[in-house]
Order: sequence, then structure tokens, then C-alpha cells
Amino acid sequence: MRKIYLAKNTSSKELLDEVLRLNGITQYELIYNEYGKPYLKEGALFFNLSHSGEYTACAISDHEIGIDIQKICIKEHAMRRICTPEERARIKTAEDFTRMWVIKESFAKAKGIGIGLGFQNINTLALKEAEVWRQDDYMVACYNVP
Amino acid sequence: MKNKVINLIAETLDVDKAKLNEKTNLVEDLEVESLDLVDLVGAFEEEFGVVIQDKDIKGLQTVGDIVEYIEKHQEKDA
Repeated sequence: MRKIYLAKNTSSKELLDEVLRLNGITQYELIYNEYGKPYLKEGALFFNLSHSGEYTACAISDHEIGIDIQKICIKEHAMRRICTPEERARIKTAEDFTRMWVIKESFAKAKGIGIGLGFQNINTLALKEAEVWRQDDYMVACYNVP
Repeated sequence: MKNKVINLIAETLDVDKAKLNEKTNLVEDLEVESLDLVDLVGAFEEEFGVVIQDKDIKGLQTVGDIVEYIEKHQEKDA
């Protein structure tokens, strides 16, 4: 099971409250892993949140999941730091860069490690399970741990 | 060192450096998100010639944290 929700001008907490309510959970408590990834204490389902600009995204699943939304942009220092040589060669536009970023970020968030994982070790060209799409001026990626 | 760090943050994030001081928190005060943070880390590495370990990024919460980290690792890497 996997569901994705996008909302504009909504806080992460507001969106999470609404998503959980829609899925039958009206009261909940959060716990966090050592990297700060939140989980429902009762463990009914897994969720992940992301925010960029006017958008907030929430994904829920019965498996570990990560989601990232990012306004399309290009960040030179970040690109030099986190891209493999193969990825760098394929980035021609800001959309290409942002696509690469959201895939890496959603993967890392699904694994529950986040920014602590060496992003250069995440080769997006080999990561087929991530779902990626464009939403207005944003790129969104969602990764479910199989 | 502090002024160099502040100038680089202001330039990379396009914020007014007059609003930055040692206690400025990147997330709470500047609303820095993950990509901005990684970009900033990359900028620091290039400017100051240090290697910032991925595991240490989460601890760089304020301008003061960054200054301290760079000063410590510049000495170590020298």
C-alpha cells in the first residue's frame, strides 16, 4: 500500500494530521530514530514528509518510505559534492539536477538515514524503484523500501 | 574566520549578512532546507579547503557551530 498527498500552503503537521485522519488515525504519538526520522509509536503505518516553497508532501505506506519535493533549481556546490561522475555528465538542466536530488533524498529518507548517508554513494542511475514526477515548478520523488 | 563564514552564508543563501551572527540557527532562523544545507557545506569545503564528513553535517546548526568546526578541521588538516 502506498499513498501520496500534496498540499499547498499547509504545514507538515497539518498535512500529517489530515492524512492520518483520512486513514483512520485520529490520535497518535511520534517517536524518532537516531537520525531524527519520525515514526508512529503505534506503528500502524510508515510515513514521511517533505516541504519546499509552497508545497508540502506526505507519503504513507505499510513499508518504509521516503518522499522529497524540491522547487526546481540548480545548486553548483551541492552538485559537485554529491553527484557521481556519471550523474554529473547527464545533468544538462535545472530539472535534471533537481530530479537527481529528490531521488537521492527520498532514498536516504526511506532508509531512515537522511543527510548522514554519503549521497555520492547513491547512484540514481541504478535506482529504478523511485517514482519521480514534475508538479508545477517542483520535482517530487517517492521511494519505497522493498 | 567568523566574518568569512557569514559572508559565505549570505552569498550562498542570498540573505542579508546584517541578520547573521554566531547564534543564528540555519534551520530555525534562516529556514534552510536539506538541499541548501548540502550546497552550503559544499561551499565551505571549497572556500576553506576542509572536508566536512556527512555524519557531522547535522551538528552544524548555528553559524558558531560552523566557525568552530572549520577552525578545528583547518588545523587538523594542515
